[in-house]
Amino acid sequence: MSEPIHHFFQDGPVAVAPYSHAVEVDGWLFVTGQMPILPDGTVPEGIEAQTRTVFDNLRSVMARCGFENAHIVQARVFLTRFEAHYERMNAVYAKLFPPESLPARTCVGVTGLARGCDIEIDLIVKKS
Amino acid sequence: MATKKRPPFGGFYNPLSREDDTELTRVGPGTPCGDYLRRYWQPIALVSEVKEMPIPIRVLGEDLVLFRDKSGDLGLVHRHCSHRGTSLEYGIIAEHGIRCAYHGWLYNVDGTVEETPSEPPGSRLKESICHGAYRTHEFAGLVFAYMGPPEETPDFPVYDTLVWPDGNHLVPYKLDMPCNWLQVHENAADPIHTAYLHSIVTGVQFTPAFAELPVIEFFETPLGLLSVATRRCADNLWIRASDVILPNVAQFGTGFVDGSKEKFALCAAFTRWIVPVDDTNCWVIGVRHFNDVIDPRREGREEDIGLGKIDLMGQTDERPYIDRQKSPGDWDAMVAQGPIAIHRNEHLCSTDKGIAQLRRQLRNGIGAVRSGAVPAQPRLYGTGIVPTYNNETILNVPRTTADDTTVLRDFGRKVCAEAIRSEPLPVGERQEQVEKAVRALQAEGAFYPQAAAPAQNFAEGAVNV
Repeated sequence: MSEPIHHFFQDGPVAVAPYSHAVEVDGWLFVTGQMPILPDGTVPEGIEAQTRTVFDNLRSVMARCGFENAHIVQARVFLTRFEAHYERMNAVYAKLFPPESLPARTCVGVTGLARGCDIEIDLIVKKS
Repeated sequence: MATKKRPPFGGFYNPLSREDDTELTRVGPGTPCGDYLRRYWQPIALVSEVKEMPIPIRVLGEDLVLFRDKSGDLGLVHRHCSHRGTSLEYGIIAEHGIRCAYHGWLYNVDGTVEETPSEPPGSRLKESICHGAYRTHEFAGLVFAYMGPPEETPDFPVYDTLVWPDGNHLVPYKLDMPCNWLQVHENAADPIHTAYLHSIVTGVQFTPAFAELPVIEFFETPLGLLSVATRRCADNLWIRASDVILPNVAQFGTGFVDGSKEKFALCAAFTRWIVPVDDTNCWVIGVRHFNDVIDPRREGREEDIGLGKIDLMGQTDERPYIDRQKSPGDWDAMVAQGPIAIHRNEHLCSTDKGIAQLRRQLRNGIGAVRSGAVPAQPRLYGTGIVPTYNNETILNVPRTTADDTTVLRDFGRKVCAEAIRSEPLPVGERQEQVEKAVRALQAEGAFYPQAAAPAQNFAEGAVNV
């Protein structure tokens, strides 16, 4: 195994806790769970816009790490209001990937997320 | 309202009332306001919510079950079975109606008891009972119910904005509000808040144009009120005239006006009802309109409209609490008035004329029902279409040396007077005629007070001051 590379970007998505934006090992990228925080520090209203914002942040981390065209192998989705948001999140999520290459996924309801957000998603990515 | 000013640091002397205005706020069966609201068709669900299973639903304090039977008919019935009271949310959908899971009684959508299977052959028990049920109607992706006396069922009112302009596309939505219905509905008769809540105090939530303080006026219309806010946007004047339709309907223009381009839209971007779930919960339920007249630049976002969502900031609690504290929206302002806003603790001021007028109109309607009369229903014309007056008007009326407040007031009055006066005209043609009349006034400089003959002013009697 090569030495892990810890990616952190001062101008990347707002870091709300002590972590690297992503850690790279042997062509794999483990992306820290992203929140729906916009560049101006606010959170858009509604789970649809929040889901899109989370993916914008994830994609920006992937790009900065040189993984923009890499394959998203797995996604983990965390929701604070599972009953209310599960279907609505799925409707947006489904449009983010070609239907034939959806990542493996785990989605769980949780009691709370940082910054009072309603959604967080992390990724495991592999360079082809 | 408090009558005596208390000393500074005198919270001790300011006990707050806990008595709400029950005549207007309580909506359960047999309450004055509940009886009044039951005289009108009310939207109670999105059509898309009604799937293969019965839905337990509470409306106007009544526990009900909404379902679609196998023949495609909608049913809205009292939740608890007339036999032994279990919930029909566990009922089995039948070809016609719903069958209670407990002992198999079968109810049709009108409440008729079709079968009582455990009774001996020849039993006439079912003929002696009719389960509570209500009429329903599907329109524009919404399920409406009429919960008043069946013999008084009014025609379903189709507001002109719901069928015009040609090609108008309606997208239904429904939002939960954990508070009394009235404080949410009153927001429509409180146009000054659009400057403060949506801009001046909290930062720009819609567009910077909302930060300009409007001149506000309220005109009585055959439907209720027209709540008018007129603002200056450089050389243009912008009217945001919102229908407040009795008892609990309102229409609005868009949230994305920048005021830079002339616009004449005698139609709406939102038509919404505030339907009480019970005394301390309600829905904002209605439709967003998509068409080239109200939204020529296609700024609406259809994908953000539906169950629990709308393409306008601040209408839900779906932002973190800290963000909502920094820039609270309508949801926060209205819900934070409390489960039921206490009118005795308010101090209404000069910008609250619309609130006072709306409460008066509601009391009149409630009084009419209480005295045994049928309250006024939206009037129907030949085509069955109800004319409304909502308009979003932006015209070039540059600032002059004249008092600009007077210019704004005069402009708002004249344009809205044309909108109200034109109501007998057919839908569509009406917009053309009103625009023509307003353009003629614009061309002759009639929007400046010195040019206007007082006799041509909108009838003063209709202006509530």
